[in-house]
Amino acid sequence: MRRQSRVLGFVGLAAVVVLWHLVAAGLGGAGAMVPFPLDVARAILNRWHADDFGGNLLVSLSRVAVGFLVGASVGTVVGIVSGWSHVAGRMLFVPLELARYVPALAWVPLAILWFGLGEGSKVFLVSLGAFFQTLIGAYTGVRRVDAAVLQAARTLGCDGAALLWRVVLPAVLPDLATALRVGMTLSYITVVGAELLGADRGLGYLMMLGREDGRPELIFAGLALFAACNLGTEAGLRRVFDRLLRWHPGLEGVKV
Amino acid sequence: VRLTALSIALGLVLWELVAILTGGSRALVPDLGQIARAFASLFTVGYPEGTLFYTHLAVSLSRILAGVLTGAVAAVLLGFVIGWFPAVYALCHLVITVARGIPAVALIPLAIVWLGIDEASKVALIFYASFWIMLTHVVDAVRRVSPDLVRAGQVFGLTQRQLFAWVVLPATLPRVLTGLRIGLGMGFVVVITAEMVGTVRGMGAMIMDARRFFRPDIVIVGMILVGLVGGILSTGLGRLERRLTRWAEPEAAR
Repeated sequence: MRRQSRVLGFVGLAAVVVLWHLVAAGLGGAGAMVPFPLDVARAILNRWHADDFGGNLLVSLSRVAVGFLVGASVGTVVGIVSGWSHVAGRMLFVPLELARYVPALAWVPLAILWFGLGEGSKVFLVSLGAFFQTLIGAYTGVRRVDAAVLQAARTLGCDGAALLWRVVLPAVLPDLATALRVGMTLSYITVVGAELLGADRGLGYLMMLGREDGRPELIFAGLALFAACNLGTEAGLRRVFDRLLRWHPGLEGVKV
Repeated sequence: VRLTALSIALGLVLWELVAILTGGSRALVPDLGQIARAFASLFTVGYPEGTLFYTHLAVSLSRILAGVLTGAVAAVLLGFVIGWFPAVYALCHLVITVARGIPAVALIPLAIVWLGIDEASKVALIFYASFWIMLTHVVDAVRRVSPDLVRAGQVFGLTQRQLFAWVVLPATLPRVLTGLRIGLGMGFVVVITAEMVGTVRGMGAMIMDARRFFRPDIVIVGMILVGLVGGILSTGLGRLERRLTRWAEPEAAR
């Protein structure tokens, strides 16, 4: 049954591609607004150098990587601290509660004003999104640590840094893992959005170029590359966390 | 409460300090006075001049409503079909996963190429963003209707139609409502971004325009207002949802 359902799923996907092809054919084929699926693949392969797919992809990926690393690590630390310390939690609550409802991409205009059109604003935006995501994950993780476990650890003489490292951190990991994965996807979304709204390099910029030059296959190619990278990192992260969380009984729940 | 007040005061003082230190000719960080003036001007003069904040707000909200409502109708209709028939579900679930994985924001250039730069492309993007997440919730809701409930209904001799109206529909309601709320949230995020391209009205357009004409004060006030509107929408809908599903068991409401 499971296997059958998977096969049917791919049949469904294939049907969508066929449908797309038919729509493209119906609308006039090459040069029209809807490129053939094959044209998209061809655009990626043949124009890899001409349109500098590799270079632009690399630019976007490095923005994601740097932004995510900065944002996620700061977010993790701040989240754990504000979850652990009553004072810090109280002090950070209001500003964070305010900032939470501002969509990451609403920061684009300010980021461009402050950091210009280049790397600075993109990395800032990506790290901002990753920051809030991991912060909330780490915070809820710490708050959810079982009080009985803490008591037990304290009774056994575990204290201070050891308590944080050996008891709290592992307990936070499941929530943090989810937040990191969501934050990663958010980083990709932020970088595309930011590059679409104002950039001189990157995959998003390439897509906007496709729009301006009337080459929709470029847009599709950008989409496909972004999706592939996102799925790739997502799968990688999942593997890492599955390993780290092998001991966790709720793993099945985390996996979904 | 005292700590919260302290942190706000501290934040404001810090901001003012940064504003003074970095100030001077370019003034990328407007001081508090400027921000307050910008705030007032949005409601009296408007930005761009003549377009009050209410107008931007109304334009954005009507776009969200148009996109999310059409998305909701489509998601509920399709969701019940996909969720109810296992064969249809098997065919569709991968398509849904893949489509949901494509962020609406990344579709902005495509929407513009296909639908032009006006209203239609913005509403379509909101539709796309909210539709897939709502569809997922509806499908999930239908698939998770407890078979015991359905069997019990059959035992009591309900017809198919009665079974649907009295058993399936109420059982799915909590999850469907959650989906609608999340869909609306997605619509809110997307509208702000979509408006940053090629339009002059709407909250997103307002802050992007302010960037172009180098008005960091308007940008910041605009962002604060966007956050406020988002917060009000989110908490208000959350409350409404809880009220509507109070009868449901807490587990089902999740």
